[in-house]
Amino acid sequence: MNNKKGLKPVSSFSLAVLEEASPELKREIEKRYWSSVSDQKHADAFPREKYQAGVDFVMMFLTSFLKYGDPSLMEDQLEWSRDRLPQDNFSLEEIQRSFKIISKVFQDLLPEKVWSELNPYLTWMIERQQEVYAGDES
Amino acid sequence: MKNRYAKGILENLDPMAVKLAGDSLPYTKLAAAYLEALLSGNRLAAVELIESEVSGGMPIQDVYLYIFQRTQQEVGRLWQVNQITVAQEHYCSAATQLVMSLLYPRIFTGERNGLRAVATSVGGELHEIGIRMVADFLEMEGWDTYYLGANAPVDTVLEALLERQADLLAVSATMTFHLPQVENMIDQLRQDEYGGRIPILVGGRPFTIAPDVWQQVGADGTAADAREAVQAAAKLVERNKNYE
Repeated sequence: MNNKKGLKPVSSFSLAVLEEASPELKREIEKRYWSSVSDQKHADAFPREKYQAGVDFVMMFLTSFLKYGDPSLMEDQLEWSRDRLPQDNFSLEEIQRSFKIISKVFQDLLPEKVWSELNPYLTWMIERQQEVYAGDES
Repeated sequence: MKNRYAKGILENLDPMAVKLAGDSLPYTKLAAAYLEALLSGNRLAAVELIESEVSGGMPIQDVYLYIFQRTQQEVGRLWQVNQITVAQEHYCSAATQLVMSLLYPRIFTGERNGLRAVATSVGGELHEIGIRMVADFLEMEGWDTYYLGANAPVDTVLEALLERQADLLAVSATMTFHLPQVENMIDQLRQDEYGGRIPILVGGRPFTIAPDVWQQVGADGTAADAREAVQAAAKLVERNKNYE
């Protein structure tokens, strides 16, 4: 049964593949993120360890979202990130950029079958993120 | 000396200084004064405010729901928007747990109903005030509770259930990403003969914002707050007895 946003449940096979690939995905996300940071001031203000912890955190709540499928779980985290992360010198633009990197890394590293199941969730997450950050919480 | 530390807080309270969810709820002014005492680092004043109200007849359940729960939520929000530090947040939580402990002589006195519950936060979860409130509410309803605190491993929970011959397990998770741990805990408990037949009540933020998730993790019920948890616990135990 699809959830209230029309997202189909993710299979246990895909969740297991994601879990196993998680360390590699995280390493790649961090690598791509830092290689794309051009603003030295941002790099100085936001230590790599903090970004690493942030990626761990995102992967954990993303896994919960994919496993249980309720968009409210993700919306809650999006609102939290909007309120909190800029206070920790991590701007909304950087969060949005990171989410896009996460999505691209998933697409590049996960098997096609798995990616096709996760893609609608990541697409929804990124679109909803833009709405939440723009102040639309409907 | 009565109200030595809290003197003036209620009278001089700036209603704009703190913002509490649910303005129409009872005791808003007291909740604001309590929060102001905590945020100013004056836990003795916080203790006095509560002691004074409870001595005057305020039900402890109301203190928990309208003062502790609301102020804890606001403390979390203030940290989230960077209005207070992590240290202040921890201070407020520790102070509230202190005040809760001071109320225990009044909580652990009622007639017992013969029911036993184990209460815990799931492994990895460090937030514990919510589940402690549930345990205390059950205690006030006559249950004998065995509160394990935060971050309890599954084998410890099972041991406690067996040792106490519990009628109910109450499990809390605050962080969304601890849902798989809740599911895993329930799954492991269900594989045990005793754990397999005990009703499991879950609660915490992810279950409140996603109202169907309690079923997905394999629990028998959920509750939005400690008062609801007492009602849900009674129903689950009753239903379980009818099955046996």
